[in-house]
Amino acid sequence: MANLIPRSALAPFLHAGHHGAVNKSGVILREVSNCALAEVTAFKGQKNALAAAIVTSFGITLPEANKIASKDGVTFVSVGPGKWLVTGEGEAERDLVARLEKAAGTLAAVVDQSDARAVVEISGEKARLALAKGVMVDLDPVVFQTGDAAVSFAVQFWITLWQTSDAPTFRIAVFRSMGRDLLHWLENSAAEFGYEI
Amino acid sequence: MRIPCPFCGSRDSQEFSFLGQAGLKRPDPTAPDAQKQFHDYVHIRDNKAGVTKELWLHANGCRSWIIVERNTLTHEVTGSEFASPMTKEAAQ
Ligand SMILES: [Zn+2]
Repeated sequence: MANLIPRSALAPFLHAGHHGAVNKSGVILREVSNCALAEVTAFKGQKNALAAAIVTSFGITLPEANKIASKDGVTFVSVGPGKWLVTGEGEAERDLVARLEKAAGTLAAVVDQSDARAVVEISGEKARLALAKGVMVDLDPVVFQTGDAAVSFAVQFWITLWQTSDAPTFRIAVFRSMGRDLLHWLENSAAEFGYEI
Repeated sequence: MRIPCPFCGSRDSQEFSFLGQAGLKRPDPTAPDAQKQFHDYVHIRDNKAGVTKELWLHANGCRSWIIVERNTLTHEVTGSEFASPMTKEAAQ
C-alpha cells in the first residue's frame, strides 16, 4: 500500500503575521494540523455498551448532546444521537483510529476523518464577536462555555464548533474542501479586531 | 422561526429542511387498488389550517429526522420528537 503523507489542509493559505486593524490583536487564528479525526457511530441498541467500552479504553465518559469530553489528548465531541467526532493530538494522533476500532469492536462504526476535515482554532478576547457574525448559535458566555459544542451553520458551512478554553478558544471543523473558504470568512470577520496567524 | 430539535435544542429554521406531512404509510403494492393508494400517498395531503405534524431534517445540525408540531395559521411550534425510535434510543 502507498505510504500516505499527512498534508495540511490550510498551510498554503495561512500567511503568518499580524493582519487587519493595526495596534490590536483581538483574534488569533491557527490551523489545528497534526490532529487525527474519526467519527464514531453507535450501532442500534449498542450505545450504553459503547459508552462502557470508551470509559475502559480512554477513561472518557461519552459526552451528552452539545458537549465535549477530553482526556490525554483525545476529545469526543457530541455531533448527533449516538454519534461523536473524535480528535487525537500529540501522542494520541498516531493510533487514534486503531484504538477506537479496538475499543468499539462490533458496537460502533469508526470512520477515519483525518483527511476529510479541516480544523481551525479561533482564540483571543474578540474571538466570540468575530464568530458571532456568522455562527447561528448563541455564543454568549452565559449559554456557551468551555466544554460546550454545537453542530450548526455558519455563513455557508455545516460546522462542528466547540469551546476548549475560557480565553476563549474555539475550534471549528468543516469538510476539508471548505477549509479555505472558512478561513477567508474568519479573516474578514476578525479584521476589525486585528488578528494574528 | 425557531425549531426545537430534540437533540440540539432550539435552532433557527434555516438549519432545517422541510419534507412534508408526517405519518404517511407506504401502501401495499400488491393490494388490488394499489395504483389509487399510491396516487394518494404521493399526491394527496390534508393541507390543514391549524396544528399539523411535519417531517423536518436537521440537515445543518445533528442530521436527525424529526417530527415537528406546528400551527400553520400562527407558525407557533408546539413540540418535536425524533421521527425514528432508533434515533430516540441513541439520543438517551
Ligand atoms: Zn439537531
